[in-house]
Amino acid sequence: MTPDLRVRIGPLELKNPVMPASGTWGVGPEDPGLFDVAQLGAVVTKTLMIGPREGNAPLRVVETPAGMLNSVGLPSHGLDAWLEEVLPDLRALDTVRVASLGGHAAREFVAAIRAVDEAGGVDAYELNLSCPNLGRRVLIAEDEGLLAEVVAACRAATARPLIAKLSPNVLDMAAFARTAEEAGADAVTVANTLRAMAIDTETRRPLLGTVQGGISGPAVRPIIVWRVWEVSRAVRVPVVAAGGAADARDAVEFLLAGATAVQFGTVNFVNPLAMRDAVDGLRDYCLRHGVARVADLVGAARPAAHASPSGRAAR
Amino acid sequence: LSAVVRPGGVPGRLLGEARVVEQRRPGGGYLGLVVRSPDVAAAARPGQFAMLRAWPGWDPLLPRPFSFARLDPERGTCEFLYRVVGRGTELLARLQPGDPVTVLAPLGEPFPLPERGRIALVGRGLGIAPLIAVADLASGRGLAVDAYLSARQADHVPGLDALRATCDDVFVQADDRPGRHPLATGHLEEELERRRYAAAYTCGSRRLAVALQRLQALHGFRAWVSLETHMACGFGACRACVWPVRCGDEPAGGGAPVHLVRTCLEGPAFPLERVVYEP
Repeated sequence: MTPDLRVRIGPLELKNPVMPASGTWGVGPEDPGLFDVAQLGAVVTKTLMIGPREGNAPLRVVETPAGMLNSVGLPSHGLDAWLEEVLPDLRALDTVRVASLGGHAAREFVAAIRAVDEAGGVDAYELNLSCPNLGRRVLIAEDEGLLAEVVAACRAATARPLIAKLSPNVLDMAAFARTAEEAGADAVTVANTLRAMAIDTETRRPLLGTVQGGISGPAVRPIIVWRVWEVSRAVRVPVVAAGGAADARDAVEFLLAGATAVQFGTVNFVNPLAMRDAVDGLRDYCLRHGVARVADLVGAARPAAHASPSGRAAR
Repeated sequence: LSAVVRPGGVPGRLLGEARVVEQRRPGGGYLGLVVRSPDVAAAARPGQFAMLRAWPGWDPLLPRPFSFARLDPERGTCEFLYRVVGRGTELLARLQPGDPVTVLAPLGEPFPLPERGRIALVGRGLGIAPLIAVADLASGRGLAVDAYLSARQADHVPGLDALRATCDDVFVQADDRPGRHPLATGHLEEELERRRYAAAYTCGSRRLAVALQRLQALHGFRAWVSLETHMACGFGACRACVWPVRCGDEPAGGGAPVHLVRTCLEGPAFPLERVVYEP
């Protein structure tokens, strides 16, 4: 028996649930060329901002225990350069091609969608509504009104699937996920990085050039597993997990929590073969557990073991 | 390492496990990690670098970048010079012969070498590491090489023996032995009165690089710098390792726009006159 690894995100069929998180894997010259990315369920680009941006001043990355902070700030060559430099390499890929789009307001997202739709070669958009490193206090994905407005504007602009990338820096992520769903998102990504900071105790200065940034990597995984669990119970649209997945075991954990697909981010910097290995590992897991279709694992976590009615662990 | 070819047939980077051959301890706190990896030793060029990781689990998380100090395609080995500065290098320093190291290489743009003539190497401390590999390759191709080195201790100049074997002249400026010149470029400035260089290469000191920019402007030789920055991935994806560089077709002094450029992919070797050193 060969396990069926296919999953569906709205109208899209992915050959497996594994894809890179935006900004951690590139097409063309940024692809380290160690395996064929067409083996992945999808490829997600670095976020396109329509106006050219330098990004934030260094230091942009700080290592922390089992994780890292980043404050890269979405450097982008802008829309025209993206269409010329990134799109041809993206279009050539034989898998689901997801363009990550960013912006400061709905009109920037809509302008990018119109231009990319017209050029063709992209199967879906991930709306990066939650980058913590743009120098704004409140992100689009942290204000329900803004979130609804931007997603609805994008929904009106394209028939292609929209995946809203949400912020974990809110108390009630489920409410924000429902807002995105009601505004027309076909799926939600849970989640962007968590706001975080580190200080050099010798110099007494913040390590990141922008003081604060976002943390990612294995250190945050349990937080995002819970967020996926919380959000997937609140919406009908598929949840794409993003939060420290490093191998097939982690991908299974996210699927069991309720994710339909799993993005691999920081681990790509540690092991550029992690995504390929995770696809193989998912197949092995399914064989070992007699799972015919990986989609059967979605939300299939069982009740907690040994839980007594009072909530205390049974002896 | 297994040879991996980029889809489409373009040779890609190599990723795999190499074995430690030797952990050299030349003194002064410097270490030389020699690993056996015939594919990398054959493919890599001076100025390029490798990402190394030699511990299980996620802490420390990221691999560490090291430039190639020696490349020996005949023995199939590469050497990386380093000091213990943090947890990653502390773990590397514990490696014994036979231990595995995960290597992703070769990465980045190498130093271009001229066809003929004389070249100058200007380096300080561990920044001398990639210059040793330049001297090996250049002297093997029949180029004349001089080295202008700077270090904290005169008795512990990284790569001094290797450079004495490959260079015509080696000048050393050590912090603990004040000489005629406060900077190693002082010797170069003196020698520029009688020697012509087809190219100069520098790494390891912003002060030396800025001094070399001035000499380059005065004497009109080509010069290249290898930039050392904090990296996460080493292959262009994370955009952590940026440095301000004058880009485009305009000459460096003639209005070329300054952009934050990745040292891992567009560099680490850059034309020196294009690199911006903010005061």
